[in-house]
Amino acid sequence: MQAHLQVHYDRLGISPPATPSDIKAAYHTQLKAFPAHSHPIEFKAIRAAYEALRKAPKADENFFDVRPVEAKIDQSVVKQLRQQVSATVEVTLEDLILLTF
Amino acid sequence: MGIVVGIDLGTTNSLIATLDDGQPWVIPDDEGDLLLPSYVGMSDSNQLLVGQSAMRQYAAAPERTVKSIKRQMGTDYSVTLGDRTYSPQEISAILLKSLKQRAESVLAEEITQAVITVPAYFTDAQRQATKEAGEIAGFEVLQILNEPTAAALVFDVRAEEPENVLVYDLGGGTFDVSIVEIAGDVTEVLASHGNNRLGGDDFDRQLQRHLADRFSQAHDGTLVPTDAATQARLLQAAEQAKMALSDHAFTTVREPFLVSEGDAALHLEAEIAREDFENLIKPLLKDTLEAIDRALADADMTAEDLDRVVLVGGSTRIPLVQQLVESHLPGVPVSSFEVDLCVGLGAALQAGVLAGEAVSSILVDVTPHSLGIAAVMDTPMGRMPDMFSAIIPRNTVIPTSRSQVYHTSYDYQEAVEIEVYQGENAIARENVPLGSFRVEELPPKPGGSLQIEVHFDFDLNGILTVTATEKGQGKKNSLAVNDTETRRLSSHDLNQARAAIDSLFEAMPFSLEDLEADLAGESADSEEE
Amino acid sequence: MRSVLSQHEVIALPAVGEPFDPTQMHALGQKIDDKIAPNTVIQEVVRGYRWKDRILREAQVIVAVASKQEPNIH
Repeated sequence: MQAHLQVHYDRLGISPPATPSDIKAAYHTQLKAFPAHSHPIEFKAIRAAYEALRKAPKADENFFDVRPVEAKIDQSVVKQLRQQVSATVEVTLEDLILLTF
Repeated sequence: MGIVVGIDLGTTNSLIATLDDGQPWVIPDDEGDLLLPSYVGMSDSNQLLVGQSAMRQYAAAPERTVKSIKRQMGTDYSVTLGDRTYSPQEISAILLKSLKQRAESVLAEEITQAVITVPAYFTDAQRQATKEAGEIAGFEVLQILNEPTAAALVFDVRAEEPENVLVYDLGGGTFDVSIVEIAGDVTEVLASHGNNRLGGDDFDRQLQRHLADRFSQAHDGTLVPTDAATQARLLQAAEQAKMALSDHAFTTVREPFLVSEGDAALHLEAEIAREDFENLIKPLLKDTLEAIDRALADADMTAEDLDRVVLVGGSTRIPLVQQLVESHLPGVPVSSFEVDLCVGLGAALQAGVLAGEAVSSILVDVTPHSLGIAAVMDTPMGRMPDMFSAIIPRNTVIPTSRSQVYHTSYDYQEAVEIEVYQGENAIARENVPLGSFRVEELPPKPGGSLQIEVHFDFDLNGILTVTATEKGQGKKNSLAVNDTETRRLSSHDLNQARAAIDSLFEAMPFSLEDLEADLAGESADSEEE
Repeated sequence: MRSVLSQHEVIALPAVGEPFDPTQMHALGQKIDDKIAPNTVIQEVVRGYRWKDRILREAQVIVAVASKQEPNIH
């Protein structure tokens, strides 16, 4: 079990190994203790923990890992394109497919 | 603790509900009607008319009657009634205030806190306008709640196993589909999709055109005049025929004296078969089935994963709607419960939760639209500016905070412009602009070497706060986004609008005391409509 | 029939010639007529009834308007 998942298990108050239904039950228990409307910060952490653990078994296809944020800059091209540019990211394979219609 | 209410502010009808011992119920007016027609008008003598009375004068005075204002929420549309121009927020506020008075006279207590529902697919600007309407009406808006989610809260699933429910909500002007997991008292929305401009109004208009065609066929090509009054009358006839066709295979539309030619009056008399009507609306309904598929895909599900489908909204009374949904999702049981009321009942339940009443339901909802910024991106066509980089993808659970790191794109770049958009198009400008701001005085560095972290914080009420930070020196700027075009009203504007609407109500012919007197000894005995 | 109704205090609502009253009439439409004051009921298509002070059914009427009026439909 990956060490970085431990913090998420702690957040939900369970320990590995946990079945998907254990994880969901723990998540629901935490939701009742920290409802989104009154405890937004805790809620976000609980939600992040739940999403991480729910997806853990298939971590290699984790949605959040797909998108690299590093980008190489080709300055000459960029200058031609835009004077006042906001930002740059490298697109993912999914984005590329989307963009080619 | 005061009484809290839930309000379904609908395109065609609105209602107000509250809780009694944890049980939601709809508050009737003094006639016993549960639904308030969403009509606002000015009488001939400049008296404010709300609901039924405004609806009654619509065909006689469409120029001083407003209907379906919900479709204009979040736009800069304005409408003149009497000697003043009103924004969509203000017209909605009149409806809300009328509901507030209704509740106050029945409960004999001042009511200030409310949950107001909106279509799940409403944009930020539309939600903000709805919240403003609530504030103008004198409410503290506890939450802007998604309609299908509100409806789902009413279903009390006591099964051991969690149930996956698809809520299909087709109202007067909007369509939503939400996939909801109900596990005991936890209701979690997995995905929402919809269309903010599809509903019963569109079906009425299709039928209205059809009636006009039938009229000219019957009268040697005489066209129905295009003036507002005749068209309004035709539209009402269409609406009635539509409703009749939900229960009958045929209906006859009779509109005597629709057109006068000199001394001769021409009548409209046409028999409409349900099938005629179905053929008119089938193309529109096909879109709703596509929305079901997209919501399923977003929830990472197929039809087999659904335990049931719940139909909500007045337009689901149309038999074809049920048939199409059933055949699109074979094997999934389709049911409905109080199609007109359950959104308002759910809103009252959620209001109880937020006000700390003993209602033990937990709600987890999502944002139906992606949120992001315009950025330069590598594409197969080369490096492209103004591409949409989503930071909060659609159907992310809210509240949420997400960050993304971007880089400057050329040498010695002095400033970055953060343009915030909501939508699904890869081209930023094709989405809904929410606002923009700049981070300036960046340290002079080669392009690509400065990191800018863009942080999105999206709260339960759909308020988005965007912060951009230059990571080296910590230059920072932020924006609380509602919408730049329909900018949030200042408290001064809000107070002015509130005062203007209060004075309209004060001039109304009957007072609150009269209402209370009328209500003494009278109970809610009538059904909706 | 009318007398049976009136025995039970069910009274037909006056309509034609009266000013349009949205609390007890439902407008079916309007008709341009410059000889009659605007907002006056010129035709009753469906009769309305009142029982004591409650409306049983609103009258469905057509209302006079002045000419050269070009309102917009929303």
